[in-house]
This record gives sequence, C-alpha cells and structure tokens, in this order.
Amino acid sequence: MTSAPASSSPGVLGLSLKQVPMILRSFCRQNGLMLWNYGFSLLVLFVACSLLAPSELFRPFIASAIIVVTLVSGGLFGTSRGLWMFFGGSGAERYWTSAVAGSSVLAYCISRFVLTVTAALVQVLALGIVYRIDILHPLLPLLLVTVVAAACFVSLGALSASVATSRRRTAIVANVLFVLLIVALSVDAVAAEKIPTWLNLLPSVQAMDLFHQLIEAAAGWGDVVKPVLGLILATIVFGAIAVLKFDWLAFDRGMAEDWDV
Amino acid sequence: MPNEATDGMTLQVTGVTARAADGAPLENVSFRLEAGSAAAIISEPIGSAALLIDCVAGAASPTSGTVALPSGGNGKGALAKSIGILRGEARFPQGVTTGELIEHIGLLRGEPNALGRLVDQFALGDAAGTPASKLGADLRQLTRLGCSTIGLPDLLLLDRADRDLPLPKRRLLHRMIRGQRERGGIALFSCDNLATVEAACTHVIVLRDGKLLACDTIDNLILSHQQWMRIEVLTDTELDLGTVSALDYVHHAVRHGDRYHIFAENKFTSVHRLLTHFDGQNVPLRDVHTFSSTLSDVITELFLSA
Repeated sequence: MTSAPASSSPGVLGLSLKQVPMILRSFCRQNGLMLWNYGFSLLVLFVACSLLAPSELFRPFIASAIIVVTLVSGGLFGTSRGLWMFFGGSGAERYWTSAVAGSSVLAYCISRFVLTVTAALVQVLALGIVYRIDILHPLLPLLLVTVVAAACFVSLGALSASVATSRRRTAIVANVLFVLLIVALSVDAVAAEKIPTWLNLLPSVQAMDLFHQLIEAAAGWGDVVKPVLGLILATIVFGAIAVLKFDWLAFDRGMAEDWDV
Repeated sequence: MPNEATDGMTLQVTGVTARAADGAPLENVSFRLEAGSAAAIISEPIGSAALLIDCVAGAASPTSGTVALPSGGNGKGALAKSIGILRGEARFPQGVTTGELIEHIGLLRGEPNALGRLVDQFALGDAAGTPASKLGADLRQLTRLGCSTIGLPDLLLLDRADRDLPLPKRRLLHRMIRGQRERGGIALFSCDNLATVEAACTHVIVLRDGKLLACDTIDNLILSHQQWMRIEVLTDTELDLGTVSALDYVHHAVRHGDRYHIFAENKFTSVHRLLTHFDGQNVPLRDVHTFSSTLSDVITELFLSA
C-alpha cells in the first residue's frame, strides 16, 4: 500500500506550479474562452478609446477603466465560474481524495491569474502601439499594478466560489460584486470628490486610480506603493477567506443542485 | 471529509441509516469487509447502493451509525489517499485530454507515472490525446474507472462500475477488481450486470428498500438457499402463476419470455408433483428443465421474501 507525501506549503505550491501548464493548455483548447478573454477585451478597448474617447485628453482615463473592467471580469467571473466548471459536480472526488487536493485549486487560480494578467497586458500593449500612449516610462509600476490587481480579483473570484456553495449562488454573488465594483468605478470616474470613503477603498477604485495615474501622468514607484499594499492586503484577506470556506462537498453537491433547477 | 479509520485493513459499517436526496433509504445497515475482499451491492432501489457508497466515501452523512475505513497508513492524509472513488457519471473538465487528466490526478495522488499503467490496464492508448469529455461512453467509463485506481488505493468505491461497458470491456473491470483484491485492498461497488458480480466478487450485499437482506460470500449465499430448485417450464398455453405459486411445495413462479421459472422445494418429488399438477390442469408441456439455485435465483428469492 502507498502512503501519502507530506503536504507542506512549499510542497503544495510546487505541486500547483506543476499543474499550471496542463490547465493553461486546457484553456487554449477552448476557443470561446480565448476569444472572450483576449479578443473581446481588446475589441472593447478599441471601441472605447476610438468612439467614446476620440480626444487624447480622455483616452488614458477611459483606457484605465477598460483595463480594470477586464481585470475585474477576468478575475472575478473567470475564476468563480471556472472553479465550478473544472471541479464542480460528480468527479470532484478525483481531487478531494488527495491529501494535496488544495494544490489543484491553487493551480487553477494561478492559471486564471496568468490569463487575466496577459489579457490586461495585451490591452496595455495595444494602448502603446495603437494610441501612442507612453507605457515604457511607467512600465515596471504598470506591470506591478496589473499583477497585483489581477491577483486581487482572482482571489475575490475564488472567495465568491467558496462562500456561495452552489454554482448558481456563485453566479449571483459574482454578479452582485461585479456591479458593486463597477458602479464604484463609475462614481469615482464622474464624481470622485463625492464618493463615500468606504467606496473609495474598493479594489476596483484603487486599481482604476493607479492605472489612471500611471498611464496619464506616468507616475513613479512612490505614487503606487501605498495603494498596491492595500490591494495586496485585500488579496490576502480574500484568499484567506476562500481557503477557510472552501468545501469540496459543496462543490460536489452545488453543481447537482443547479442541474436540478 | 474521510470517515474514521480502523486499526487494520478492514471496512466496518455499523448501523448506518441515511436518506438520499431522491428518497432512497438506508436503514440500520451493518457489515464488515476484510482485506482482499470485493463486495457488490445489489439494491432495490438502485439509489440505496449509491447512498451507501456515498456514506462510506464521506460524501453523505448518515443520520445514525458509523463507518470505519481501512487506515492504510498514519494520519488523515494517508487515510484520504487510500480511497479511490467513482460516483455516478463523473464529469470531466473541459479542454483536458484523457492523458492530461490522468497525469494530473497522478500528481495529486502520488503516482506520477499513472498514465503508462492505465494505458496498459484499460487500453486507453488511443484515448490519451483526446479531450476526455469527447470520448465515447465506454472509454469515458474506463477513464473514470482508471482515475479511481490512481495511487493504488486501499479502498475502491465504485457506483455502477460497469455502466456503459460492453462485455469485452467489462472484463477490464473484472480484472481491475480482482487486482484490487490480490493487492490486499478492498472493493465495494454497485453494478448493472450480475455477470460482473460472479466474475469479480467475493461478497454480495443485498439491500431491499434500504434494509440489509444479506451480506455473505457468493458460495455461502447460494448454499444457504439450496432448499429451493428452479424448474423451467416451456408451454404453449398461459400458466396461471397465482395457482402455481399457491402450491404448498412452490415458493414462487415468474415468467421469463415464453418460459416459466417455478421455484420449488429442492426435492425429487417436487418435479413429479408439479408434472402431476399440470396433467390435472391439462397444461401441454413442451419442455421441462431443473436447475439448482444460481446467484440470480437467490437474489430474486431474497427480494421476493423480503
């Protein structure tokens, strides 16, 4: 009889990283997913920057908002829905019978993170190439903000999948969070001075402000450190709640409940 | 998630009572399986078998009773790893090939080279490069079965193990269950075909409306019901089954196509008395055969007498 390997945290992380290429390959085989992730987000950026903000004055502002919407939708919807589609329903027992089952969930979240970050970076690249916006000067802070914001929204997606306990409820939670984050973003955009303090703390508003500063004013490291730390803290809090609330049996049953509806 | 562990290689189910979402019950079910045994659950309704497997797997919570699993090692991790489960028509993640899925589960369950073994054992060579969700029903089932054996678990729990498997591929399942027994593990499964039970099992667990009717070896079960013999009758006229069943030496009678199976006392005189009865009723007989009880007969008998 075989015995289980010790499941230390570095071991789980290493195991997760080994699984990431397989999950990324499975994404690449899903044409709809790839089109939605890269094609649609790029199309929205072009439409917004060309039609909604034809003048260069508003373009950085609109572009920042679109990049944040890409990060929010990719991280929140992609992760929450994707976790259910990958692990939900009968078949979950393949994973939860493993002593290191959590590594597969972490691997999925890392893969979604890669997908979300690359979608946002493609948009940033398009801004530089098509609209001649200076992305080279604030490149490193821009990369950092993209990575941190993507991690934050992916962990928020994992949180909504963990706490909602069924696929349908996860979709409802993710939609409510999406509306809240985007409404806060919009209020911040049109009336920043009137925005309540608590709304200003939402990750979408923080990310929007960071992208706007970096793209429009080519802000440096000093301007981004504090909000980035806030986003990292939010990522850790969301991730911790997701880990604490994650229940394989809920994933097993929650999918079946939805099929019965 | 896993249930508690026993000291050695034993599966002990004690007084388990539960009810599934579809209403299938389990009522005070108790049995014990030792290392090297494979037990098939034959259940009416079939949902009770799935519920029993879920209770043993830890996927359903009994309202009362306990399940103690073979420990197969120390600690919760080892316990969890020592179970291989197939429940229902397990889904496959989109875009993942069969080979990738097996390698993925192999990584998680400590058998990184599982693909090679499963390709040999389940003839999955052609399927390895195809997304698992796009395979035919039989290959999908073989993939599910194969995934449940990754990590060579101490305890295999399989719900409707031979679902969608044609006879030649059912032999792969028989071999897999025999392999589990020979390795010193335990298999507990439900299946659609009695041939699978006879080919691969040491024990049979018979449930009716969630109540345990029998848990014994196939040989013991048949031996303990040897008081009945099956008389197979072929006739051109329709028999009144009620009249035949009412005869004092007949247990019950059923119709199978154009033949009648009459379960009578296992005595030489039973055949003679039955033929005399048919003569008296002017029933023209074309053919009469007698058989000792088979597993199927015993199970039918158990269900009817419950």
